[in-house]
Amino acid sequence: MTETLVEFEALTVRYGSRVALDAASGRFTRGATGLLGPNGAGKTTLLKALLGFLSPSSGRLEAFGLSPQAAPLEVRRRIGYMPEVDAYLPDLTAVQTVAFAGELSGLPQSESMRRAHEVLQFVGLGEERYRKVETYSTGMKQKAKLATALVHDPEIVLLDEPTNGLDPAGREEMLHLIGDIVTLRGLSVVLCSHLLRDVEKVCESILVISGGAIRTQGRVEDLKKLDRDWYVVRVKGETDHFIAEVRKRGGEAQPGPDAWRVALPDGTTVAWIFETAAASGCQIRHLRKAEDTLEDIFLRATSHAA
Amino acid sequence: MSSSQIYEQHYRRLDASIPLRTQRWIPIAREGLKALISLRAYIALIFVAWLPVFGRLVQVYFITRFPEARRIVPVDDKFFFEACLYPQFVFMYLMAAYAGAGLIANDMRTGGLLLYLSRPLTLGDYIFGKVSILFASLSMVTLVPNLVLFFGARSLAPDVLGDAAHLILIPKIIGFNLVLILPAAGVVLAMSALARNPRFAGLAFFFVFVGSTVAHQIAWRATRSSYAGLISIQNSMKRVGEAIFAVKPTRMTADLPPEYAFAVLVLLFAGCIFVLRTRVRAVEIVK
Repeated sequence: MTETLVEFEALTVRYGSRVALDAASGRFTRGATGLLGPNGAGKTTLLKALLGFLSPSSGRLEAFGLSPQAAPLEVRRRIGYMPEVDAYLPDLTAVQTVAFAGELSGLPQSESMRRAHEVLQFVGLGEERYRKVETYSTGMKQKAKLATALVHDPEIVLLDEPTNGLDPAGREEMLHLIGDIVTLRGLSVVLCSHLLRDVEKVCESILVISGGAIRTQGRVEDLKKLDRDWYVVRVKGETDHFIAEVRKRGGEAQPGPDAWRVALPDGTTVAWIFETAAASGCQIRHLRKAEDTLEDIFLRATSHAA
Repeated sequence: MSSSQIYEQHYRRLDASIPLRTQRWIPIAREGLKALISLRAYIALIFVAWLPVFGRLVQVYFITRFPEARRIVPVDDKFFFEACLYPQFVFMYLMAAYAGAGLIANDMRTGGLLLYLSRPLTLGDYIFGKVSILFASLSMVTLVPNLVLFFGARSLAPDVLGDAAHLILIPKIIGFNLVLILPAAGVVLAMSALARNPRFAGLAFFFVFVGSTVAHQIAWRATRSSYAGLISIQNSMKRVGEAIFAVKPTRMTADLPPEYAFAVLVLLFAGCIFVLRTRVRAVEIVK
């Protein structure tokens, strides 16, 4: 079983009378996890509680077996946080900023400086590390923030919208880096993003949060699997006849974006589709097994809250 | 040949876990002071602040040469009290505004606060680190020159200050300088946390200090009551200093109990810490 790093159960966090997290339960396991949700869903509140900035009204929250509220320093020592907003110190170069962050995390001064050079090299800022961070472009600032989150070698890195404001090439590079962190360095990552494609590219599991509650979670691969055998079908001929025949013979049909999705009746095989097409006077032009996209999963999960 | 991107170079994983620091404010203080020391204006201000000390040492030297001058300018408690106040008070204002106005405002403006508070630091560590930067800076224009003045005067005029009884001046100088430094540091940091812009924070700091002094003058003229002095931060500091050095109070402060003035300064400092704790909250900055 995959090791659980962060676990929360019936976690409720309130801002005064407003409930931001409503009895949310879930976990972040080793590897890359995507934290998805619309604005105001409670993603940031969960991160704040995890960093020990907010105290839950009720429920349990544990990171590495510790409560962030009872042992915030110990938890933050093992977490790297890359914020969505700019975070740098005026007049400091990238290497000074990253080394300083390492020192604040408890690294000795010389070790911190050595690691600052290494992680800046790793994120691709090796040549620019003696420049002041405030003079960096958006993409470079994002990389500098990533280096800052990595310098003390955390066990888990929380990435809040890491591709925000990046051009397509920069975005690809950032996602590549995040992938490297997980696969080559063996760190765990929580990727908080609105961009489903980013999450799909990097994360093997997701957690969808909406209305303060966890709507769905699990491995992306498992969530994409459908409960019945669905096929994406395009036919040559009268499509309406084909769909009518599918329904007449006990199958199910749903319109898709560019083709129909057809579910087989119980106890039949894919040959049933060809038989049905022949019976309706159509020819099969395209046939493949259907699976949910991350967007489907996300929309289905968030529509519960709506 | 396959090309390799630069970031594919490895960085080492740490073999050992990092222990939590016990003095977590030290890197904050060190980094802040390093940044200030690199500024010419900061060094120049410290240099200028030391000039009056040398002036007073020359004065002490003349007194040793011409003993009759002691009647005009005696080297006593009042001499050191005034040395602490004039013109060091002005340098303290300038240093507090220059070194302190941006300490928190800049962190809030650039998101630097996140860099601190997402680390294993408490809010107290952060505030203590920032107060330490200001404490060191203000000490360099008040406490340290005054102590140097004392020891310099003692070595120049051992017949006047050489006996053990005068050593009591050391805790008096330290105590009074703390009374000057801590409220000033508290106010400028509170302004820095409130303004978010270092220039506004500096102006607000001057407004609070000068404004309270002007308000005191107006209140005193209207009431002729020494208690009006409680309005003024500067006057409260001065009244506590008069009590510490056992100097005869001025007409404007004659009836004001120094305990009240001290209580005002303590309350002011506590209020500033409260403002800092309210404004500098990590929960507000994770957006």
